[in-house]
Amino acid sequence: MRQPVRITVNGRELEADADTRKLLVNLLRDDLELTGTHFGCGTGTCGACTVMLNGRCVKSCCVLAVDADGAELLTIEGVANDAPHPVQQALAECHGVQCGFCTPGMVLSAIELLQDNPAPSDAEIREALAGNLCRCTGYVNIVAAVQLAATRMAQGDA
Amino acid sequence: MIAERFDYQSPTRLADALRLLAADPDGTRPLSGGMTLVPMMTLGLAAPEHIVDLKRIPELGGIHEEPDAVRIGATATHHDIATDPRVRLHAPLLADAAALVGDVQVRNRGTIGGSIAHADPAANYLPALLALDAVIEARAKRGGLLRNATRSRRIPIGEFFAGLMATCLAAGEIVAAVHVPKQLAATHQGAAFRKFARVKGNFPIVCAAALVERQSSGERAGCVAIGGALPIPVRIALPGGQAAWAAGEVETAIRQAIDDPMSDANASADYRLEMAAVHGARAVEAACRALDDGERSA
Repeated sequence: MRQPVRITVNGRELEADADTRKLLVNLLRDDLELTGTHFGCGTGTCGACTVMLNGRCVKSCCVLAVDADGAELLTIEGVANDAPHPVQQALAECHGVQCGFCTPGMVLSAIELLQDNPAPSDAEIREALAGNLCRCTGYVNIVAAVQLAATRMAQGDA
Repeated sequence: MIAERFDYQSPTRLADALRLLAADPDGTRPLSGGMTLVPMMTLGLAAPEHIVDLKRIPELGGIHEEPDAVRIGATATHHDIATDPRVRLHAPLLADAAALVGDVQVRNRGTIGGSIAHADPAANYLPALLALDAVIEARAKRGGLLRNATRSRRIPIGEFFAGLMATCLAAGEIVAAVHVPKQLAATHQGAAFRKFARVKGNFPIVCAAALVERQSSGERAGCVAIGGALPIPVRIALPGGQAAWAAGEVETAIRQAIDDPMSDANASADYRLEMAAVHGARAVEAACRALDDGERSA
């Protein structure tokens, strides 16, 4: 069964005709060709499909596409302006990216954290990123990158 | 992508949702945050023919303060509950339990009504609600010809759970809200929540909620509720007439109450019982410490 879905993705209003069985992550990747949102476990464990829905991070594999009707979404493609977002820049500089599969979810989770808490402790960063699994980095450099991004964003020079 | 076909409706009126649920109770599942139901459908563990989304129904949402309780709408998210100042003030034990559900993404989307109705025995909320004597507000379509007639009933939390992932809700009946009696001031009551999981964000192996209060005699009374050890959460009264409890005494009371602990791939029955006793005792110790601090500040 198909139903119309109207969503705003990264500021663009879009319409799609979605099968009710389609997950939001599939709508983004397959229909809208926004493949920066990764499909990992498909069952809400790994966080690779994290997007912001109405300003808060969710796992898009646990949201029916039709349930996102009317929502405003931010995906990794909408994070950077002309230059990379400070979180992206810091991840690159701190070597917080290895294979990159978890990175889009990590970036969005870090952005939500820094919106709520501009000067987090390492423990708060780890808590905020706990829904995103990384099998490469060991997390240390990701935490360092979020600290660096927080410092730069607070100074306003990023 | 989910394999089995289903239709999806997202009514904005409660009467419409209850009518849809009553029309085919066996083939219909209510959807709230979807943190459990959507992965179950993806994995083929659930295959409803009809989904009725409850999130757009105003009566099922929101958090409201009542004279003696806080009414938490079924579609309030874990994030809402963990961060709401009224919940933090009047039911801090519940706020603590909400803050330890899953991870940020899950708390942003998952709801208390979904968690309660799913009735996973290890869910954080269950022991907290049991310790707090919460009352479930359930709604259903009323029988008969009246299209929009609904009925409401209140179920004490201690009577709500019928078995492993089973509740006393009738076919087509939903959790509409939870009424959580206000906790006493910190000068008279201490509370603590403890969650024990293998990995951060995982479902707990066991969780424990403790509530202790000072009686006019100067002695203390209290309880500890344990989730994850038995198919339904269990509430254990602490031995009365005492000013404090030794950890061993609490552990013994917990072991006596949990006669046949569950066993699965995460934890054997013996280990689960041991963890229930240890973490239950720690919750009681932390609640007593909170009460000590509260009394000192009085």
